[in-house]
Amino acid sequence: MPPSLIEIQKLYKKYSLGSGILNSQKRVIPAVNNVSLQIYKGETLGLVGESGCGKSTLARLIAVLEKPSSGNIYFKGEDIFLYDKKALKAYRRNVQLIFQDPYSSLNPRKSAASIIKEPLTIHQVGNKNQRQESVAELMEKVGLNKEQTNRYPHEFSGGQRQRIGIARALVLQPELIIADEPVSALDVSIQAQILNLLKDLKQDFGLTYLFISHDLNVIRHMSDRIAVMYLGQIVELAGASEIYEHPFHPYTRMLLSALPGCDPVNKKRIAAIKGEAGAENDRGCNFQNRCPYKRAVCSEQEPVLAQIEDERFCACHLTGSI
Amino acid sequence: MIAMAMSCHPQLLLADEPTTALDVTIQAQILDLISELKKKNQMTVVLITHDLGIISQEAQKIAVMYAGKIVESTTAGQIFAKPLHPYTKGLIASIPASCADSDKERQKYLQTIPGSVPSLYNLEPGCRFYERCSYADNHCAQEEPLLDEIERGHFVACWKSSDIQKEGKLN
Repeated sequence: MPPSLIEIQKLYKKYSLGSGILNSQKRVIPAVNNVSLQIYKGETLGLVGESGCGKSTLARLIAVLEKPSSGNIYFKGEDIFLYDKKALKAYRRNVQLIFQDPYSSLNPRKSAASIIKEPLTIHQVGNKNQRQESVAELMEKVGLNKEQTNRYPHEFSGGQRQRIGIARALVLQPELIIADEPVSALDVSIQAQILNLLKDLKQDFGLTYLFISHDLNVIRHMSDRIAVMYLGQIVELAGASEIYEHPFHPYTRMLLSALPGCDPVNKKRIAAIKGEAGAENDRGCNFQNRCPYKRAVCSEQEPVLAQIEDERFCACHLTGSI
Repeated sequence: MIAMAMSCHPQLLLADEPTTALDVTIQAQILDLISELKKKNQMTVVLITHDLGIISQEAQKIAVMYAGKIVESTTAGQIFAKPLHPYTKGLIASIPASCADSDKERQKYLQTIPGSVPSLYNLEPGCRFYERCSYADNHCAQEEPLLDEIERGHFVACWKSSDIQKEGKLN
C-alpha cells in the first residue's frame, strides 16, 4: 500500500444556523460528520454524493479554507491545523484546487497568462523570466496556444477556461489537486477532453487527485477508489470497480440504480426512489427514512464505517444480509 | 415549476433541461413524474437536455442539434445503435463508462470531438461541423449539407452519411 498523503481523522464541521426572531431554537448542521479517510499518494480518490452532502466542505477543510469543529487532518504525518503561517503557505502550495464553474472562478480583468502566473507571484517563485517561461510551458501542456496568452476570460469557451483553471492549479507543482466538480459545467464532448487532460497531467506530474463529482459515470472513469458521502458521512468506501459492480450500502445502490443508462432498448427501470436527503434523525442511521431495507436496529443505533473486506468499508447494519 | 406548467392542462410540454441542476436520485423522481403526467394527460413532451443518458431513457424520437441546426433526427433506438452523423457518433463515443460496455472504462482515454463549437457571428460557408469532423472533405467545406431522409424516418444532414452507413454495415 502506498503511503498516505492526507490522513483525515474524525473530522467534524458544524455550521450553526443562528436563532432568528421567529425561530428561537438554534439549529446545528453537521456538514462534515465524523469523517475519517486516507488519500494515498498517486491515487485518484473519487468523492461522490448528492448536492449538500458535504463534499465541498470536506474539500475546503483539506485546503484549509475552513477550520474544523473538531478532528484532524495530517499531511505527510503533520497536522495541518497546527501549522504556523509559513508552514501553512508551503502546504497551500502543495494542495491546489480546481473549481466547478470556469465562468466565475477566473478574474475577468486579468489575461490568461497573468491568471496562471499569479500563484507564482504570491509564492515568490523564480524571477520574472522564469515565471513567464513556466506559464508558457504550462499553457502548452494544457492545450492553450501562444496567441491566447494575452486574451481575457470572456474570449474563451467554457472548456478553455477550465484549462486555464487547471494550469493555474498546476503552476506551483502541487502534490495534491482537489478537483471540485471540474466538468459539471461542461457538455459531454468538452467534458471528455478535460477528463483526458486531467489523466495525462496526473501521469506527467505524478499527481494525486481528490476528484469530487455528483456524476457517477465521470467518477468511475477517473477514480481508483471511491468514497460515497451521505449527509456529511462517508457511507461506503471501496475500489472503483468493486463499488460499481457490487455496491454494499443501500444508498450507493440507490444512486447507481437512478443513473440513466444509454441504451434505449434495455431501459433500466429506475428504481423507485423516495424522499430527499432531509433532516437527519436524532437516533440511528441517517439514511433510515429513505432506505428500503430499514429494520428496527436502524432507528436505534447509528452504524459505523466498518471494514468489510480488504480495502472495503461500509456503514450499514445490514451489510452482508442484503 | 412542473405544477405551474401543468396548471392549464397543456397538450405540449416544453421541458428545457428540467433536471440538469439536480442529483441523480431527484432527477429520477422528476423524470418519473413527467412521464406519468404525460401518460395521464396524453401530452406531448419536448425534452431538451445535453444528457444523452436521460434522452435515451425518456425519448421515443431524438433530434440532435449542432450550431443552430438539426443535424440528425430519428428514433431513439436508431440514434444509439446506428448514428449516421459524425457529430452524433462523437457525442455517443465521448460518454464515460457505464453507458457502453463495462470494459470501456478500462480504456484509458475517452474519445473526444476535437475543437469547439464555431462562433455563430461569422460562419464559414459549408458544413458547420466541418472543422471538427474526421470525415470531412472539400465538398463539406464548400456546400452546406441539408437534412435528408437517408433511411425511412432517419434524417441526416451530412454529405458523408452514406459512407458512414456503409462503414456501419461492414462492422
